[in-house]
Amino acid sequence: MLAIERLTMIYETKRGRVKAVNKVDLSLGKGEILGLVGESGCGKSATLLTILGLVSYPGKVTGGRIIFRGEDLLQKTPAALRKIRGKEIAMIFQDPMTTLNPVFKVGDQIRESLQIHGLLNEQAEGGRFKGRKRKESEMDRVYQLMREVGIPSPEKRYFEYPFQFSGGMQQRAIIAIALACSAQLLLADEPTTALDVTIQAQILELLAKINRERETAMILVTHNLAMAAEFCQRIAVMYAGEIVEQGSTDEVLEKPQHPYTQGLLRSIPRIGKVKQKLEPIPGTVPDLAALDGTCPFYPRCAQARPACLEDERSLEDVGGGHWVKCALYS
Amino acid sequence: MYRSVEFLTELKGNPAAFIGLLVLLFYIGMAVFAPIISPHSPVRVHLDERLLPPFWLPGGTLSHLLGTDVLGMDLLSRIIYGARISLTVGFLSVGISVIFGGILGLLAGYFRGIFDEIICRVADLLLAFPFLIFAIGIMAFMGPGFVNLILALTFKGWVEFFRLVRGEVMAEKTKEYVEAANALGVSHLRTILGEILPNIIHSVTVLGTLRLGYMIIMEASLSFLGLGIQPPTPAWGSMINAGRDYMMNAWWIATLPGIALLILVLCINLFGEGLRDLSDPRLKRN
Amino acid sequence: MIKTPLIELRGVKKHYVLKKSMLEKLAGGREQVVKAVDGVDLQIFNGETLGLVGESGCGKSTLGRTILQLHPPSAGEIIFDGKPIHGLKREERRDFCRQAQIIFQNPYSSLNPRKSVRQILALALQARGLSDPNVQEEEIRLLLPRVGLSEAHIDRYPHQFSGGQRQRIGIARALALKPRFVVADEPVSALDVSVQAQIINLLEELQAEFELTYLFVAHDLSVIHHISDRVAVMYLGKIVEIAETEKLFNDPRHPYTQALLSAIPRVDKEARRNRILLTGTVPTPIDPPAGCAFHPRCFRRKGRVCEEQPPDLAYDSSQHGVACYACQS
Repeated sequence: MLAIERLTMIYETKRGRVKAVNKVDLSLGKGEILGLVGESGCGKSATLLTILGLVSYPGKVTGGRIIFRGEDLLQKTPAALRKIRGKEIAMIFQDPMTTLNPVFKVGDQIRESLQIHGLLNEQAEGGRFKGRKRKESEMDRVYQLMREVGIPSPEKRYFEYPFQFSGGMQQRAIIAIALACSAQLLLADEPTTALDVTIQAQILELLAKINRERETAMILVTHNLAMAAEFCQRIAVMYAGEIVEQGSTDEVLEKPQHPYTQGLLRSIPRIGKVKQKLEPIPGTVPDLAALDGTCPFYPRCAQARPACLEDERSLEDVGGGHWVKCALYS
Repeated sequence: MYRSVEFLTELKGNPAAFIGLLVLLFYIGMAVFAPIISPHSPVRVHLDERLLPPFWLPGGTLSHLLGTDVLGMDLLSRIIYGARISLTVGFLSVGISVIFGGILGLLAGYFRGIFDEIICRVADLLLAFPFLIFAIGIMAFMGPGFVNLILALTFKGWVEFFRLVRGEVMAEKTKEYVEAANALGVSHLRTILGEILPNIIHSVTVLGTLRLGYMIIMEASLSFLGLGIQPPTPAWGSMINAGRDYMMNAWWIATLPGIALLILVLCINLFGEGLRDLSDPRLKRN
Repeated sequence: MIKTPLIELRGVKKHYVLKKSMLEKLAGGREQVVKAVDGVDLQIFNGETLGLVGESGCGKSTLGRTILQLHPPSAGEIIFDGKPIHGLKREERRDFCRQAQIIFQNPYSSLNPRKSVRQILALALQARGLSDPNVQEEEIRLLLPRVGLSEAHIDRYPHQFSGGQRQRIGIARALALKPRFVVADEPVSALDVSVQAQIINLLEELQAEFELTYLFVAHDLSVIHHISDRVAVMYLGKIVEIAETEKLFNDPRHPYTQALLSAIPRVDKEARRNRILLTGTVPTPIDPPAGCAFHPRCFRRKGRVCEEQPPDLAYDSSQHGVACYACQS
């Protein structure tokens, strides 16, 4: 359904070219949930923006293909992209407050999404309804959507403004907007980071329900390995713009192959395990502008070796659809 | 020292602001060295050399490069001395406004409470009057003169600084480094002066620069109306007023001081806007 | 470990009155009170790490600051090392500051951007009574390596450091006073996963070395589980459950704790249990529900008693305290 091949996106800055997304390969089947995991600045959000065609100056896509249902999104005109965006691919951002427009009623914002993509005209029985009648039928559909995402008493909340919604409710409203156009692919960029743990669980449950009932494929971007572990069927680990490891959730988390993934798993505290000292990954995330084409994890890697300094690394299959980009395996 | 060098290099990246700074420095030099560089006394009357045009016009002489006015006083010398008045009034009124408004703003923003509420209401009240009309009223009441002029300008000028500083202090106060100072047991006064002030001095400088141009215009306006600096003391505003009646046959008397004023204020504003861009980290990043 | 309380809270409350403008007052608007901390009894023992966990707005950060007198309590008593700490005179307050310090969440706003590391730490050393610049310099040069920074960093400014390094500076500032008690207010939640572990380890090492007592405030339950000896769960200004870490995580009794724990995403497959999904969101502390504040979301509500009378925190023989009628039968 979605296949990304060697996608590269750079930012031209004064300090040089920053490869925010570096030769990324990803694929996603219908109804599948993929977790894109990494630390801040590793390029996971940039990857989503590139898929949506929302890269703006000084960013630039310099290579690769994004095949969505047989067509390369990078070849499309902006107008064609705009049609796909929202209608077939929808996005949920981290901060719900800035995604919703604060001066419009929440219900109207959901209705607008229905209108823009022309779904209502077709659905409202061939556009037979006009004027007030049509608005009523549109609002019924919005109520239905709001109920579906778990917003209680939609007849009342339709007329409320975003600030009257709690963070969790705002995120539900945004999900309703995404559902309004029955998108087949949902890109979620840290959708629960701004929310409390109990609300986070509610939202994830809602997304899982949508995935079950509508077979919507999803890419979940998160820095929280545990969340990806619970929610996603497959996980791709990103580091400094590159995907370093990719595979089924169980494979990646139980048999991590890349030293970065291994380090990450050793450095997070886990509940239920015998307490032992955490093993942090030494050093910090590299400056993307200073990368020279060698393995970006090399300076922090305990298993670094001369082969790591070669320019070309490829994703190697280590069995069972588990791919690793590391000199240890090539 | 290192900081000012760094500052100048950054300012060079913004040519308009850099030129603005150079011109401002030129005016300041002109004001400081007025007695040395002006060819004549600004107040000496030569009734036999009245209404001489600038040297490039027929009838102009090189001894009065920019001509003379209706009393035969040398225009160039008067413009040079006029810079003294404009800049002194500008810097003094901004300076007093900064100190007065700044101190009130620091205290009100930090301690809040009833003190803050009272000052804010006073500020609101003052802001409800148009500045010029307000200043005219005060000057008419107190009479013209240098000290009264400064008083009239600062009487309302401090409000802007008060509001800026108060807002910035309130924003800084919520930051954790201020709380950290509290947790260390640092006294309030030291927290305000040592921790908060260095973080807001930048915005005060920017506003001060922008207000400098405005104060200079206000002085010129009041002098033009005869409420500010009185002739024969050379002030651009009163010079423009004096030349008003002769626009037809001696345009230079009113126009040249006007141009001097225009260039100064324009350059101050260019410099001030450059400063603002420099101090705004959002604009600095790329 | 002999359990002597270093800090004891008795009925501590922190209420904020929402300021009304003069016009609103004239219009007869009722003043609203935010009950950020609403009656907390708590003991923190010498040398332990007490984890304080709860969702945003539950008052956990306010409680930490109230103990340090950054926001003096509206009611109740705080006893530090056997002495009450309100109405302190200037000298006494300085002395208290020397012994009780705080590490902040945000490594960006917690350091004054206009001050170098030297100036930031010198201010702290001065608070300890060291005002000779040479002595200060010596101390700083000892302090920096202790928190994993190098002496070469001494004249740099905060913006030249990464988030993790800034947090180390913040830790050094607290440590400079040689405190006995440190409130760590979400010290790792703004950091990247791989850096979090570095800071957590550092905090643990320092605790062992300097015999520190921590109040560790966080919303991340995995971190709390890792670092705490005991854990207190807060909900809307009150402590609803408190117990030793393993006891609390293995045998949570309060329905809120149960829901909270079940909501944590787990890496380990076997650890994933049936999730208790709570309905609704945390009510605002402006007008908290009467009775038990959790009752509108509670799935084990017992009826009227929950809606009328807030339950007290009752301890069993193993010092496991729960404030819930359903658990106390």
